[in-house]
Amino acid sequence: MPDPVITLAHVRKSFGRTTVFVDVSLELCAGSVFGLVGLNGAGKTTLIRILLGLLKPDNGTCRVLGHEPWRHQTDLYRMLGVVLEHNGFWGNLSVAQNMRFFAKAKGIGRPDLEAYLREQWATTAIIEKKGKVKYFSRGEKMQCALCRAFLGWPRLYLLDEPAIALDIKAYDHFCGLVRRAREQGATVVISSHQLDAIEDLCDSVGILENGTITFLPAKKQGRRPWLIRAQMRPEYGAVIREMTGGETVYRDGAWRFDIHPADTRVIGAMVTKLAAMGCDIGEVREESAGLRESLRKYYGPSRDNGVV
Amino acid sequence: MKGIGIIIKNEWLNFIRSDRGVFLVYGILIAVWSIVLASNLHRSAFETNTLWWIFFSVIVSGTFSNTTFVSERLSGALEIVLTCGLSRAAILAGKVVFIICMSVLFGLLCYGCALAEAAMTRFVPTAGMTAGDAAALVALYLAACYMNAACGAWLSIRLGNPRLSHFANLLVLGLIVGTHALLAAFVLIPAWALPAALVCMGTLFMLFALRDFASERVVQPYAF
Repeated sequence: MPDPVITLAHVRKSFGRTTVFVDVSLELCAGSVFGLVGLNGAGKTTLIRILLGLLKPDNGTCRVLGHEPWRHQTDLYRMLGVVLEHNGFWGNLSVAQNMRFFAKAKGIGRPDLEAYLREQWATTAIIEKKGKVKYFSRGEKMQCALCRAFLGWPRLYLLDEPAIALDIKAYDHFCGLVRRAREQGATVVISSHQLDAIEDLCDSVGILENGTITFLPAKKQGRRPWLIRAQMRPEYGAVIREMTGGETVYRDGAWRFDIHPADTRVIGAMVTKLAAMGCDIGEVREESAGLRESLRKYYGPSRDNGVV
Repeated sequence: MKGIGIIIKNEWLNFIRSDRGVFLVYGILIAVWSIVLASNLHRSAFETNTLWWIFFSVIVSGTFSNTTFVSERLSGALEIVLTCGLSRAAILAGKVVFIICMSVLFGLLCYGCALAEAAMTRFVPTAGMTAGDAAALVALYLAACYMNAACGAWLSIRLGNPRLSHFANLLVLGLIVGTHALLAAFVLIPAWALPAALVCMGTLFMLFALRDFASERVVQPYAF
């Protein structure tokens, strides 16, 4: 078995009287994408800061790429790609000037930097912008932060809310970068409240709560849940079963079924057929709430009003 | 330390690409202080100019400490810089050297303006000031800038509210100069004593800042 990229063993961390982690253990190997979720204040950012060596665990073991992060070795930082809450750019400089600084700091030469920008970011307009970074929109700053994180294709990525404010094009680009990094054998940790991003990209998901990490079951590969909001008539159910080749259930005013992403063309034919049968269709959509539902089940109803 | 140059270059680029309003404020600062200096030049009292230079240094270096240390820390940008692949000592040293260089630049600009203003009015060139006095003044200004930069670096991490570091810095400098003035009233103190004291204090603050840069405090919220 290859050496783990991240090893956290029985890590405890507190700030004064406030204990953030009681006993956090985590082991991630090369080529994996790990999603870290949790409620506000659960300690996701603190965990990333510990992995970065910005905070020191009270006790337990923390090793990242064979180094102890708290020793602040520059060799370790040169193998990391980081997105944190704040973009960390020199606001008066342009993107290109900022990138040149971070490339120099990581020991990446100018030709390599330019090749990276040309190959990976030519499709986006962000690199061409000449203005000061401080006047960029939030989404543009996030794109710049991602550009910096993937610079030099490091071995480990620690990304705290990396998909915030990204438009659909930038989001797809980000997903492409993560997939390419994984193909190269890099490890990616994504901490986010954007469950779609976690679901799209992560091989495994951990919930940080009450100072420990609980792993969710691996997501189902292949079929995705869909729903068609329509009347409850057995013949409609039969059509759906026949066309999807699977089961369907009627719940909350909609027919629910699973379908493989490659077979989504069937949906159009199914809708046409149901409409021809006189079915009054109110809504057709993919239910992208698999992880959301898992989390709702995990946390249970809100104590205040029963609404999650 | 590898990386100091990279930090200095970026701080410089960040400064020269500041908005026009920033330069206007610095221009007014230089104009006002050079007028004060020019009005003292004809008297050429070394003691008068000494205090002027010391408190000019704290204004300039305090302002640059505010942008290079305090703002970066409060905005969270420092976390990224600390994890970019440069050593923390290089980052700290680069920023301190940048502040000293900018303070010297502003000092030269101010002195140049004062000479020009005095020449236009009632200039009595360097009356009463010996070469030794001038060298002591330069040493004092450099030492004060170093002390202010180091103190600003440390206070930006150490203070509960780093925005007050400017005032705290002024207080520290005032204490040192005040103590010197008090002692000078009773015993004869050589001209090099005050610059030496400032350099010693600056080095002490640098050591404190280095220690705190390597601690958790560097990224903790200021209420920690």
